[in-house]
Amino acid sequence: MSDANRSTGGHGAGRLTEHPTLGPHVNALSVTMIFDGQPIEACDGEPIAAALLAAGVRVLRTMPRSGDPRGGYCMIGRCADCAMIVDGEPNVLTCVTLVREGMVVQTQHGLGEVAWGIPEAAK
Amino acid sequence: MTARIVVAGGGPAGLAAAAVAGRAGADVLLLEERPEAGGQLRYRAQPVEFDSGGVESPALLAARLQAAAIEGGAEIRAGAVVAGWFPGNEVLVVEGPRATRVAADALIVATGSTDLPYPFPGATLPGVFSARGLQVLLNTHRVRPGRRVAVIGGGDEAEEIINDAVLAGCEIVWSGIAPASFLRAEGPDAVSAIVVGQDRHEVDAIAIAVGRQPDAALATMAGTPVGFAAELGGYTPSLNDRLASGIPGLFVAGDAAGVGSVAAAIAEGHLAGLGAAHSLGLIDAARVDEALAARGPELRWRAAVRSSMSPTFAQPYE
Repeated sequence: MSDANRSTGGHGAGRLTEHPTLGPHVNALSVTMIFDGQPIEACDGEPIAAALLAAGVRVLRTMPRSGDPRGGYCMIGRCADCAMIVDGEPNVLTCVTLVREGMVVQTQHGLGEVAWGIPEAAK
Repeated sequence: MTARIVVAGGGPAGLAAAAVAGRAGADVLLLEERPEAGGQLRYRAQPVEFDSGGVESPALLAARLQAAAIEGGAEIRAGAVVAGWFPGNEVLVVEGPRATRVAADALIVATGSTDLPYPFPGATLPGVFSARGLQVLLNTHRVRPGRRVAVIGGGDEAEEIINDAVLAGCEIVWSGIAPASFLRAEGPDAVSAIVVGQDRHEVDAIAIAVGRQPDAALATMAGTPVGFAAELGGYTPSLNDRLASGIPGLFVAGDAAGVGSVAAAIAEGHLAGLGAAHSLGLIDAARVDEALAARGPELRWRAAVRSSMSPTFAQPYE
């Protein structure tokens, strides 16, 4: 995976702790999840995808067959660009699934490792 | 047995409908897919304007509408997706791993709108979001996915996301509308530039803000005829003046009935709540007629556009 992921500084991703009209954001970085083997701090109860994007992660999954990267689009649980493997379960929509302490999140490549009875040609 | 009205969607239209229907004496259940009700008011940062000249912060308006719904006796269930419709206005409700069927004597579909897509090469790259998607990240989750932003679009939606991005500390590198054949987002693994014609701009995120379309899938699934009206965002359910769909007991209000303002969504929610209550014999026709007569210009215009749509297709789901 290229340096496009994790480069918080490079592309200016981050958290908006202050805001001129919405006020301060009071949710603290109080939980840790594991993403592709690395610990990532998150706010309790925020969507997994939000925490990953804030941490500078950009690619959340790669598509079957083409391998093209996806990194979130609708953020309302409709488009599946944010689908990842969470605690071993694939196709979890991380933009509407909330972080819990100790969650194990992995980049989903294709359909994920659990692909029941899907022909090779379709993967 | 008290008449049961189910409201699908807890945005401004749904909350207004729930308050009115509850006050009319119905047993109201409002189902909202997000963790809390409020709909668009939970992720928009700009003040909402009313015809009276008043403005209100979206968060305060959401709280006020929700309080009115609860005070009217409505039960609000958040984290509940209305995933299907069965004849007789029974709905399929999915909450986490559970799916249940909920019966309703009348159903108000207030499911809002979704962003219009705009396909162009590279549009699927990480870092490219719908305008609403970027709004949710910036305003609800308080996360900035990147600092240098390009916004594709030229209308109110584009103006709003540009304002939101600037308030969030982003730099707007380019904004405008161009044919898809003139646009390209470049990667390789996540967006790093947008090419517009001959010009290349380095970006960290792109927002597609080309407008919204009604999301009335629940009404369509029930067999509501649909027409096409560009002014209302595209495919729009065909409704009468009272926002009744032609499917007995099924009403549609707000953006699901045609993309419009928050004020119109609230007013249509109010009207649909009265219409649904009247259809169940809870209030006199005079109450509905009074609300129809009091409609402002936007509601009348919306009704006129809907009445003049040609039906596009029928739904023979028998």
